[in-house]
Parts: sequence; structure tokens; C-alpha cells
Amino acid sequence: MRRAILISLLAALLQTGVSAQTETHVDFFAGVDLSYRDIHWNKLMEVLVNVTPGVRMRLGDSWQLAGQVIVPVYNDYGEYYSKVRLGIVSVAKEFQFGSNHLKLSGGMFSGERYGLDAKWMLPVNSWLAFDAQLGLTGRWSPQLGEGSLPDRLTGWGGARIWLDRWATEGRIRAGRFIYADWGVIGEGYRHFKHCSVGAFGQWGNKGGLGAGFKVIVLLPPYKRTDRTVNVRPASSFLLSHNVMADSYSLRMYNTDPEENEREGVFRKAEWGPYSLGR
Amino acid sequence: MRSFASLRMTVLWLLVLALPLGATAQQYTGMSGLIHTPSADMDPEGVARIGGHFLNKAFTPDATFDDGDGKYHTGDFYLSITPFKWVEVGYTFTLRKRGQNYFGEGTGNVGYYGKDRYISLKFRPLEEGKWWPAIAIGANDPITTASEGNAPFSNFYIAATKHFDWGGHRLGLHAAYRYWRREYNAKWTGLVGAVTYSPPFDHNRGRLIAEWTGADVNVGLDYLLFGHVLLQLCLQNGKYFSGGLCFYLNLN
Repeated sequence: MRRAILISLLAALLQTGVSAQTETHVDFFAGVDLSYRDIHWNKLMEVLVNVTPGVRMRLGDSWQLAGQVIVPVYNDYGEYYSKVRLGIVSVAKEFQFGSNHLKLSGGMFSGERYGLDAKWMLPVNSWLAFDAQLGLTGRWSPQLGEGSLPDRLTGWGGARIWLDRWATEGRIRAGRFIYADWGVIGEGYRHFKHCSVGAFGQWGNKGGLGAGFKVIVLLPPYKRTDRTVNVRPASSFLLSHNVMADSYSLRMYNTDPEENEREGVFRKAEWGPYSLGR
Repeated sequence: MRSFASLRMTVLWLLVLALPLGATAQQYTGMSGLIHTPSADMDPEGVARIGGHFLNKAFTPDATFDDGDGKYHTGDFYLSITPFKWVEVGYTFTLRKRGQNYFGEGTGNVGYYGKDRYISLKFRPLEEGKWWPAIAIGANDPITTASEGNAPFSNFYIAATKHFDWGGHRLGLHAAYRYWRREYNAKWTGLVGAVTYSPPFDHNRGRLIAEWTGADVNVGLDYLLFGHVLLQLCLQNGKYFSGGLCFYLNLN
């Protein structure tokens, strides 16, 4: 089963050759990754601040190369997080079949995962869409230089509802996540002009009930000039807070350094929050 | 002592002279409201607040903010948002004194190494009309399974607010019934209320507040500086100062 999925994903990735090199655009960007944990009653917060410079090459014909480096600048989390290391290196290709959007990615993803990944979305109408993700990954720790074989099958399926009048999105998805736990996540987002605010509730077979909130702030400049080479800040800042301080339950990796719930993963999708623009 | 008296005089002068007074706040929680008591006022849709507040030791619950030598002054910080005009959500951290590394070997140092955190929720099912008041229901720290020593700010309320305008002046009448979960906060359970006034020359930015908390009379003011900085100052029973600042931003 895993071998069949691996072969299918690789075949689809390689099916289309890299063409139209003249359309290549390169973006250099840098953001700040703020993590904090509140797991001690007698300590205010433990904070980890990383600068995350990255690069994205849009190669034409919907191919893309992306990379990101993690540079710690403040660390209460311990020695393990103190090294400069690779965050993401991925190659991706987007497809569109009718209303279906498909993105295949391969490489090193966030969350110390590497392997292959497929994301799919089908907007049914202006207010309903279905989406899913399927991945076959292993763990790779750049700090330790060790990992595991890419034999973990993860994936989820879900549905999204978009209420245009209130710029509000409801989302539910269920599946298997990177720590081999099963569960369901319900999310609601209110999208504003340059900011999205959401709350989530979840249940996992290992972590139980959980809840939290997310804030996604789009960073200026809001109007970008698409030159061949662009140097800019990261597109957004994401704050995610889990009130149970649970950083393991129902976690998934990102295949793109700038992936978030506001801007999505499909460049051509114009559904729901992705139609709002920056 | 002298500096505190001086601070008190400064606040009283501000209350009297700085009449340019609009945005509404039960600001120590990060939520709209009055000073210690809630109201049915809500921030406009899309408003987010991030800020902090100095809490006089007379202002906080009588238990859990006592380090053995008596109650202590503290502070809090918070984040809140009004995603729709009928709901507001906030998240607040209040600093508590603890021994450093309290659950470990300990260092002998005592300081603000601990905190209480809580979520606030407020719903307004009825918006204010010409002939009827706004009605809101809400809670601070509504869900807890912890012991008596925890959730010191846990309370539930229903509030009504009606404003009257004449010649640019605005008078607000506010009443609420609150239930506090913890026995040591019973003095604040019951009917509470307030009167607010905004002058015509600064109608939308500030207001004066006089409120009854069930145990204290608080007077104070809100003022929105530079369109984005909301200041609240108050004197509890005419003596004890509390106050804070928040960044106030409409995300729409």
C-alpha cells in the first residue's frame, strides 16, 4: 500500500517536465517564527524566537522550489533548538483538473518530516469545498543528523464552508496525523482585511480534547510587484495558541515556508478566504 | 506613601480636568465594559485589543493574591477581539507571586513567576434600540475543573446598558447581575451598576465612569489616545489606583 502510494506520487511529480524556464521568478523573504510554551505554573513563558529566511523559485508551468533556514535568536527551549538548521526544502507542482486543485510536494518539510505529500481541494460551489491531504513521510532531525524511514502514512479529509457575507469560514477535518494519532479538528475563522482570527477545537485518540486560537497577520507590503527577483518580508505572521499546551496532538507538517490558513496552498484557487487577496 | 498620595492627586486631577473622555472597557480583562463591572456595551466589529493593566491589591480577589505577608499589587496582560458585533472573546494572564522554580528545588527568590490565565466571553443578543437597552451575557474564566485556589476571576453575568443623548452629551446607565464562583469573591455577587458620561466635545473618545461593584465605589475614565491607544485610570473607593493601556485596532 505504502509503496504504491510512493510510486504514484513520484510518477505524478515527474510526469510533467520542467518547462517555460523563462517564467522563473525568485522570491527571497524572511520572517520571524515566535514559539512560546506555557507549561509551568511557576514560570511565565518559555520563548523561542527564530529568524526564518527563505527562498521560493517559481519555475513556470506551476513548478516551484522552496527552501527555508531556521536561525535561532532567542531560546528558552533548550540545546536541541539552538542550532542553525534547515527548515524546509521542497519541490512542488500544482495541477488543476476542472474544479479540482492538486498539489504534489516532495522534500524536507516542517516538523522534521521528509517525504512526499499530496493536497487536494474541490470547491463545489461558492460556499462549500472539500479538501484532503495525504503524505508518506519519515522523521529527519537536522540537529541530530538522524531519522527514520519514510514509512508513516498520514492523511485527512475534510469539508469547508464559506460565509461570504461575514467573511467567515468553518472547517472540519479528520484523519491520521504525524505522531500516528487519529482525531478530528473543527475550526472557525473570521477574516479581516489584513488579518484572520480563528478558534479551534479538537479531539485526538492520544491527546484527548483540546482547543486554542490562531491569529494570522498579513505583513506589508500588501501590493507586491512581481519582478524576476523579489526581496520582501515573509507574507504573514501566524500565532497559534493551544490552551492545553499540547504541541503533539493532531499535528501536520507544512510543505511550503509561507503556507497558512489565510493564503492557502493553491496559487490558482479563488475560493473562500483565498479570494480576499492580501 | 507620599508618592502614592501624589499619584492619587494626579488621578483625581485627571478625573476632574481631563474631561475629553468613548471606547468602552472593563479594561483589566481586555474586554469592553466599565472598570470592575461589566456592561452591555460592545466594541465595534473587528476591534482587537492587546494591552496590560496595573491591578492594585485592593482590586484583586482576596485569596490567591496573598504571598503570606498580605495581598500584593500585580498586573495583567491580554489579547481580545470582537469578531462579530454580537460576540467578544478575550484571553488574560494575571501575574502571581511564587517562589522561583516552585515545583523544583527552589531558589529562595519570590517574585512574579506565576500567573493565572483565563478566557472571557461576552455575547450581546439584543442591541440597544431607541426604547430598549442592550442586553449582554458573559463570563470570565467560565470553565474550570480546578480547586478553590484556582480560577480567582471566575464569574458570570447578565448586563443591560442604555444611553441617553442630548445636545451632544451622552449619559449611560448600566446595570448587571453577577455571580462569582469562588466563595472569597462573594462580596461582588449580586446587583452592580454604573453611570457614565461623555461630553459633547469628545463624545466618541472618552467617558467618565462611576460604578458600584457590590463592595466598592470606583470612579475612573477611559480615553482613546491617537485613535489607537486606550487608557483607563480608576480610583477604588477614592483611594486605590488601578489603570492600564491597550493598543486598540479595528481590523476591518
